[in-house]
Amino acid sequence: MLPRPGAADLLKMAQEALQDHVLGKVEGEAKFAALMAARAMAIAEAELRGGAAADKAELKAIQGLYEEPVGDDLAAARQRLAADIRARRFASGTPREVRLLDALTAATATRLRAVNIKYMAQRQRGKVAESAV
Amino acid sequence: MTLADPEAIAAFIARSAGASDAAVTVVGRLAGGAIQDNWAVNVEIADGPMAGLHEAVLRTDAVSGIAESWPRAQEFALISAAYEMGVTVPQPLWLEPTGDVIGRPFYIMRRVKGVAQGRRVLRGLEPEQGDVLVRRLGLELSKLHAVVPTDKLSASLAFLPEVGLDLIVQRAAHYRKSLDALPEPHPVLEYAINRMEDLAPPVTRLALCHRDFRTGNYMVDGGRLTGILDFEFAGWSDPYEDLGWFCARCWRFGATENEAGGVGSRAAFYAGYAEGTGRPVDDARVRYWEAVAPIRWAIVALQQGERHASGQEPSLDLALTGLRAIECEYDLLSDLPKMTRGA
Repeated sequence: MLPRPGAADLLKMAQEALQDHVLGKVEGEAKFAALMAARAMAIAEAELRGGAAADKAELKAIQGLYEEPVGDDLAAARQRLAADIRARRFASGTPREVRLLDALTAATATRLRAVNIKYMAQRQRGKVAESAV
Repeated sequence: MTLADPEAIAAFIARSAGASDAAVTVVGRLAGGAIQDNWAVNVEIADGPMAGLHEAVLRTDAVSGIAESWPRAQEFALISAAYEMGVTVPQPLWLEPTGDVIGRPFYIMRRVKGVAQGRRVLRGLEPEQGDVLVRRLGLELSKLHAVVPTDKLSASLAFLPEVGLDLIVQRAAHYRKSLDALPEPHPVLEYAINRMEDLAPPVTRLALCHRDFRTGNYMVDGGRLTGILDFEFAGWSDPYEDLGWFCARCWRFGATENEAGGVGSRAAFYAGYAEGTGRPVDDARVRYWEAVAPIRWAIVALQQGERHASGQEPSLDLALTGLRAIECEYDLLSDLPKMTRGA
C-alpha cells in the first residue's frame, strides 16, 4: 500500500493538474481526450473513496430482501436478485416490491453520484413536471 | 489513421458512375461514429452522367461493432428507402458491399453541411429555431413511417426481420437475451423489462422506423435540418417507438425542459408529425415508449462498454459509454414504478 497521499488523493491531484494546466491549452480531439481522462479520474477517485462502503450497503440491502441467508458474495447476490426479478418473485404492488425498489434505487443513486452527479441534478430539476399535450 | 487506398476507391466510383476516370481526395475523418468510420472525401468524376465534383462521405465499419447494428449494405438499402420517400437524408450514391476494394464494405453518400453532435446542435440554435426544427423533424419522421411492411418499397428491405403486433413481447425476450450475453447481472434492467411488458399498450400499426431517431443523429446548419443520419438500427416497429425515443430524457443533452430532443417543445414535434400523418398523436403511447427507451440505450451502452472491457477494442470513450447505463437505470427507476397502463 502507498503511504500518504493515497491513490484517491493522487487521482484528485492529477485531475486538478489536467484541469488547471492542460484543458485550457488544447483543442479538438486532444481536448476531448483530456476531458475524458479527467472524467475517468473523477470516477475512479469516487470509487476508491466510496466503492467499498457502497458495495457493503448494497449487499446488506439485497440480504434484507430475503428471509433466508444470501451469503456475503455481492456478485452472487446480484445474480440471484436479477434472476428472481426476472422470475417475477417480487410481485407488482406488494410490500416486497416496495422493498426491492428501495434497494435498487439506493444502489443506483449511489453509483450515479459517483459517475455523473450532474445528470442526477438535472433529473431532479426536471422532476417538476413534464408538459401535458 | 488514414483511409486505405483512395485510388482503388476512385476506380470503384468510376465504374459505378459509368465514367472513364475519377479521383478521390480524402478531406479527413469525421468525428462521432462509435460503430462506423466516416470519412469526408471529395470525388471528381471525369465524365459521364455524374461528371463533376461531389462532396461526399465514405462510411465503413469500425474495427468492432455491436450485434444490433446493420452492416453497410443493409444500411445503404435503408437510407435509399428513406430517400425515395422524400425524407431529408444525405443522398446515397454508391455501395461497395464485398469488401474487395478497401478490405471492408463501404458506401458513399453526399455530404451535407452542419453539425450533428447533440450539445453543439443545442448550442447553435436561437430560441425561436427549436420549435421550428422539431416540427420539421416530426414531419420527416411521418414520411419514413409511411413505409409499411406490405409496400412495394419494402421489397428492397426483405432482410428486415418480420415483427408482429406482439412486438413488445418479442422486444422483452430480445432484451433479456442481450442481458444474458453480458458478463454481469443487471437487476434494474430486469425490473424495467418486466414493467415494459406489464404496461404495454396494444401495437396497432407497424412501419419502417429509424430506431435511433434522436438529437445527435441529424445534421443542422444555421438552425435548419440538412440531413437525418444513422439508419444502422432501422427496422419494422411501432412508429410510436421513434417518437418516444426522440423525446426520452436521456437524449435531451441536459436541456430537460425541451422535451422534444432537448431542442423544442413536445407540442411542436407532435404537430409536425400529425401534419404528415393526418392523425393526432396518441400522447400516452409516446410516453410509454419514452419511459422504456432507457432500457434499450442501457443495453447498447453496456455492449459498447463491453467492446472495451473484453479487450476487443480498448477505448476510454467506449469504457465511459458503458457507465452511461447507470443514468438510464436511474431514469427507469424514477419513471416506471409510478407509471400506469395507458397513462
